[in-house]
Amino acid sequence: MSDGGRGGDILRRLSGSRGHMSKARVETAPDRQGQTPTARDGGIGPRPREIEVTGWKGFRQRHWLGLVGVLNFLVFFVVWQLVQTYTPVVDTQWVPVPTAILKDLWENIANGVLIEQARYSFTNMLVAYLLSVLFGVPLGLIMGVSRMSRMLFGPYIWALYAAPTIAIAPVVILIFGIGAPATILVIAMNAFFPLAINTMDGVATVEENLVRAARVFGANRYQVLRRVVVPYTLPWILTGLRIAVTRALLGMVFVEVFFSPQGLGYLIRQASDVSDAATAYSVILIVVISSVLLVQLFRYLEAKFTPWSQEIQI
Amino acid sequence: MTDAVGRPLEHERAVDAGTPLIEADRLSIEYEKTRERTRLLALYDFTLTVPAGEFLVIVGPSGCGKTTFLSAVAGLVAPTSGSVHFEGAPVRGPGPDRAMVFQDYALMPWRTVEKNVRFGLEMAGRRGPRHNDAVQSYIELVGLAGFEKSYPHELSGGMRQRVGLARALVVDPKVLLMDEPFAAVDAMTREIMQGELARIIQETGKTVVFVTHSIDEALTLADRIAVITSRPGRLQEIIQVDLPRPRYEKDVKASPRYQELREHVWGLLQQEVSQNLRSGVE
Amino acid sequence: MTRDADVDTRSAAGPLSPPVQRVSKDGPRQRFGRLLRSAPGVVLLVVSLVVLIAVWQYAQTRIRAVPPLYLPPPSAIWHALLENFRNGQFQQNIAFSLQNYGVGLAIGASAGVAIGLVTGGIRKVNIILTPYIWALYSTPNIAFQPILIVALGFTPLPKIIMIILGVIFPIIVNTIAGVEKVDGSLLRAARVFGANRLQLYLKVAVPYTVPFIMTGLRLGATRGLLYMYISEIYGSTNGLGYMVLQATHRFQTPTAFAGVVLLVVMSILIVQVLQIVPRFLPHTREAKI
Repeated sequence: MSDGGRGGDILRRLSGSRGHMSKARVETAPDRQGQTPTARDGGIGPRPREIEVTGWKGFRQRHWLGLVGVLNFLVFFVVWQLVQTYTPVVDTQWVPVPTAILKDLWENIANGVLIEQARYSFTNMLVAYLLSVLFGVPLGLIMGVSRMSRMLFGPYIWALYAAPTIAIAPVVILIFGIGAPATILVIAMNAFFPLAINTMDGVATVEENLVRAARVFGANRYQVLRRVVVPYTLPWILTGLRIAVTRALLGMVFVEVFFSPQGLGYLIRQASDVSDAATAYSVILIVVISSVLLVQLFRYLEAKFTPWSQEIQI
Repeated sequence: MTDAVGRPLEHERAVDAGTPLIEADRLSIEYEKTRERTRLLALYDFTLTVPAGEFLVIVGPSGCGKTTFLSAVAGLVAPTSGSVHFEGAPVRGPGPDRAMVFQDYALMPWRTVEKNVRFGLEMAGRRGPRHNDAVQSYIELVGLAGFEKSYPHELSGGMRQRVGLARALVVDPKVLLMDEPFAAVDAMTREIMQGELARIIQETGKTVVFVTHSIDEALTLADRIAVITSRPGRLQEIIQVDLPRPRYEKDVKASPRYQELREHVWGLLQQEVSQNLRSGVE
Repeated sequence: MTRDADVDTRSAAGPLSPPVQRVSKDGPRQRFGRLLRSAPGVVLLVVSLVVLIAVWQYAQTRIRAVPPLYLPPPSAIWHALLENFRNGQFQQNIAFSLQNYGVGLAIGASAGVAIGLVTGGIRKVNIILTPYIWALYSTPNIAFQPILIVALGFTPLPKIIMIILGVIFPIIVNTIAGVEKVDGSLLRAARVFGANRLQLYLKVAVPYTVPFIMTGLRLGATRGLLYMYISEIYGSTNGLGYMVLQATHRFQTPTAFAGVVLLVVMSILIVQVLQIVPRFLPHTREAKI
């Protein structure tokens, strides 16, 4: 979805054709064509810029991937529909046709059940997420900056990040009883550690020379933190936020599917228990769509707010 | 305005020998290497005086403590023994009277050209229209007009270093500390940048302490060259460069005096390098 | 960049450590500081673990800060651990869990690498499959479990499918990233020396991707372990997750904690093994993404 257009075919990259990329890279700036920038004016001359291709060709190039994406999904669902209708590969009781799923989805939206449960689920998730951001990012910054705190908390934070924290969920639910507080706690436990760890790691990569430069130009310790360390760490924090979102979703679905009498996960479980696969899939579809949207939102934020960070992000 | 090449200068640069701006007196600096739990003697018994208005170039093999000396003048590193004085007062920390240009540019990637140049002013709490004009004029001086809103990752190496230079100049320091500023740019850009630096220094009259590996760069820019030995860094010799300015002209580089000086410095460094090779240091 | 999942405890000095480095005469504080800095992370971890366990033990046996039913003291967890090993409970459940895990990991890893290499290498496949891969990679796939259980019953099969779902996507995504990141100059060099398309792929792209596959394998293996545990929480009569859940239902919290400890130990062991193995393969380090 996000990366389909980038360098997909290594073999094509060789032939020089840029395939279906929407913009063409040129080696010289549009206003200085014919001269290599460095030779003429001592490095004045921008890096290769992108020129827009206009007209129908440009439109096709720009929207090609979007068109392919839509077609892709359409074909997928049509094939699914046809196969399951005429020569079912899997018993339609377990893999119903897409139209049945959509019909169920519509019914559940219309009667308000889905909206209500989704609201419950995402409220919990939002609260838990905000809590982990509120504590995770500052803790990561402190651990990154102060060696002492890194030595005190580091091993535990790291161990809890590496360990499957969700495993403790049954015990948490035993202690707090099933309900919003236990759910929020499990989600927060999942989301907190990647945030703290990523932030701490980001601080560790701050370039020594940038700090030196800031010092030379008169920054004090607080200013170094504010003007160098925090902005430098921003890409890591944003990545932490994205990983935290996927882990929060995992915690949410986990608690709801297996323990909770409320929420989207509960709907999936309930529908499955009565072998209502269409309803189960319709709720799963909602979970998939919201996960993808959330993750893409954070990728967008990363690209928008940290354009200098060009590394591939997974 | 980017093309200052070939502009003749009427006279030699005025160096006021009476007031030493920087005085390093028997300066020794030791680093503690945390990992190996050893100490590295970066500078040893280093004595050097830089008068106001001089363009001093420090040449030496890698790891000879050139950068350490700059850091000591900038106030980033404290002497282990001996002293560094700036305008007669011991250096206690960084200050707006000493600005630095870094080898790897050290630009903040999240700031535009304009905001990078402004950084030093912001730290000093200097804001307002007068300072905005200063930022703009220095951006123009280094030939970056039109690129104010660009980010460093959109610029070439030579352009990035121009930003670094403007950032240092805009705070109007008394001395410009330049740590191999052109080491990371390509050869052609490098020559052009040297010429422009000479022009800018001529225009602004700044004192410069410039560190480099390159003998030709040193001879092109320096009033005096200080040759340093390595490990521990000690001052080996100071050479007065009595070549006419401007020096980017072909005939200066072709002159017998240039060749003579070049061979002299080369001899000093070669001696040093071969010694190191024999003792297995380098 | 190591931002994502490659997480390492770093000992690099923080950027706010004093900019003016004064090398003074050794005082007791400096010596203590150097001791701390030079102490390997393992020693530090052991020391702080011992302290934590001691405090926990004291708090829960003497002060009883939290009802021990909810938070049993370490000694009780230890006893539960021993007891369950003695009566064979643990062995039986772990054997069941690991059997599923092994099958799931093997299938998931080989399928993941194959799909990743094909998807990364062939543009058309990439465009078609990428949306589905990313959707399933972003989604908590445990959402599929109830329906799988109902469809397939209390057999190992739905659990293995869950483990595969956990293992496969990190591997696919990392493998694709590896193929896409292949160094352009390497490809040009190979072309200059006359490599054809297939050779380019097999001799340049695939070897280049190995470190990425290792990263994916490590991420997938830990995710798979988590999915193994989850798959046993519901619709299972056996396995580590089932055991923990049963213990909480019977208010045997020490046993539940012991099960969690076992899972954590397994997870750490797997990560360690997967970090050590690449060191013995030539030219293979983990890719930093």
